[in-house]
Amino acid sequence: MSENNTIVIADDEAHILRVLELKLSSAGFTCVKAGNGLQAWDQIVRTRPALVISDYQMPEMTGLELAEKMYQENELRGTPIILLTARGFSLTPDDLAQTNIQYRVSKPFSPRELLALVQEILMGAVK
Amino acid sequence: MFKEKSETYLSELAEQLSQSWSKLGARVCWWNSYKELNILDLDDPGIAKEAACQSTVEGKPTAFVSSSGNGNAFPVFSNGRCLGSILCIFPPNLLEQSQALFEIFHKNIDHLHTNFRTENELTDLSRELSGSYEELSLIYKLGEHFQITDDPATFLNGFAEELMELIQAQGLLLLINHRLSGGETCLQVGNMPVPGEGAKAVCRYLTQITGTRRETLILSDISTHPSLVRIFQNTEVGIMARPILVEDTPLGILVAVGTNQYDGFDSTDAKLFGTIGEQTASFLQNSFLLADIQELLTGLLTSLVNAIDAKDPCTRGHSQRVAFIGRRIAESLELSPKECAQVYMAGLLHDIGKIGISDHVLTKPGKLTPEEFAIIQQHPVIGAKIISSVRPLQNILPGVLHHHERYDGKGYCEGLTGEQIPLMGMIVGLADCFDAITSERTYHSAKSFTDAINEVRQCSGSQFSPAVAQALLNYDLDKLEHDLKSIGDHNHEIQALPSLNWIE
Repeated sequence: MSENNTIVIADDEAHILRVLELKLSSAGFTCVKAGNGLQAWDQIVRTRPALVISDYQMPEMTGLELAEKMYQENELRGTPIILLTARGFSLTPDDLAQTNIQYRVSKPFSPRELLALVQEILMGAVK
Repeated sequence: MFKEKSETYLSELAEQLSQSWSKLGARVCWWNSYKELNILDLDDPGIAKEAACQSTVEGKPTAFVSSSGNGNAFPVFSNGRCLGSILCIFPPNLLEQSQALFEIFHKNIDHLHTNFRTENELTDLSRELSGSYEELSLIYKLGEHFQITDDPATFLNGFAEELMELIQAQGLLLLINHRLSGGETCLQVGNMPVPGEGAKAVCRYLTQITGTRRETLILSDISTHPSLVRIFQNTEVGIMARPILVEDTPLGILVAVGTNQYDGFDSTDAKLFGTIGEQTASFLQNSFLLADIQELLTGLLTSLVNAIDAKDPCTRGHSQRVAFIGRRIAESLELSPKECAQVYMAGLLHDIGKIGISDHVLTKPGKLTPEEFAIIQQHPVIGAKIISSVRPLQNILPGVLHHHERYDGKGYCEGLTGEQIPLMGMIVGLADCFDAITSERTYHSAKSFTDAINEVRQCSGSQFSPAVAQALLNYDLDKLEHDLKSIGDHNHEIQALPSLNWIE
């Protein structure tokens, strides 16, 4: 695993943040939480995480907008993003073109599977 | 374990308090119920210890005076249990204010303590929530991903591992009763201490107990069930069982087995298990219905084929040979298994239209008059009409309708030319001719295989499509001759068809 094991998690629902933090920190990751898009942006800029997990629907800035903003920064463009969305929600390839959103996971998700996904991405097994 | 927990907690609490209160010159330390005091450099630790002890016994703050200053011991409780005591000693210069300060300190402890407790609760809740998410996720997955064309083993494997992890079971069993054939299948996943027949026996026994009650049975240990103990050779086994019912008809049973390492199945596990059981019932019901449909259809086809045979005994077996030869040609052309099965069916039914032709024309020895010939030529159209009302047979219609077309366009009924003729029609047509040449007929005697091959070669391009003819010539003809001689009842070929799933 790379030296950087910080993950920024962004969701306006506190219980999701807690569940994610519980699962990820028990696996050794350092989690930085954010309650909306703007906070997430601040934390990302501050901590330069290895990965970002973000909800789609958030106040101040949606997950998609956040991803686009990250894409426009050279240093953040390569940071992989997992987007959490409501079931049945879909994004077109156009939506995703200006982002580095690697995966989309629907809610409710299996925390176990999400952790496995995070580990895969950070191990470099999945590009 | 408890000691560690309280130690960490008390020391954390003391640490937090110390950070702010030490600025005033106060000293904060802790004493846990194991009679250990963490700060040993008090001049008179004995007094402090005594006060701490008393505070925990009486359940309220106990003041004491030490050489370092005035002190107070505040007991700390969690979940009704006493973890120990936090001690605070103010230096002599704060003597006047110490009363008030102790009150504030006490409140401080309470707030911090509440925070810690709440934080713990939140973590516990998050853990529960996480578990619920896993369950939900599993149920959604089941709902979205199973296909009724899956076989039961695939279906079971789709959720088995996740389920076993969620409920902490070591093995899963699924017993399925095939109501049609009266047989039983027992599937298992995971580490079953009793594979094979033992597993079946366990399921049967549990089916007896659960009957047709739409409930999940939990057996925390099997000591009250001697039959099970005999099978498992062990009493440290936990069982959860859910009958798979469709409208009170038992289709089988789903069983989870927990062995030595298992934790016990609780009501949450039972609820999830019940939901999975219902999904399984849905799946099995649909599978069985699909099998019913396929069986119905093949039964129907068998009847039709028997009708052809009954109509004209001289050509008994012709249809099945045409089907057989046709399928070999299709295989030689490397068509998909589904297409090969369809060609087979088309071959079986290609002459069904002869039912509509009167006997005296059909079995007339010698030459036919033009009018009689015209009547016979109707049989492909009649055949197509007969099968056209059966929707799943639409796929084989071209084989029946066009089996008398010729590559050069001089065939009947529509006079199609070359590649206009559907492939299935060309294949069946060739197979039909080939068998006719090599059989006894009212209008000619049987020719040898070799002669038949030559005729096919000669007619390639005129009567037959070159590609199709070549496919027949490419086939191992000795094998074909041999196989044709040994075709018995064609029923077993028909029975094999449902497994090919050729119905759309």
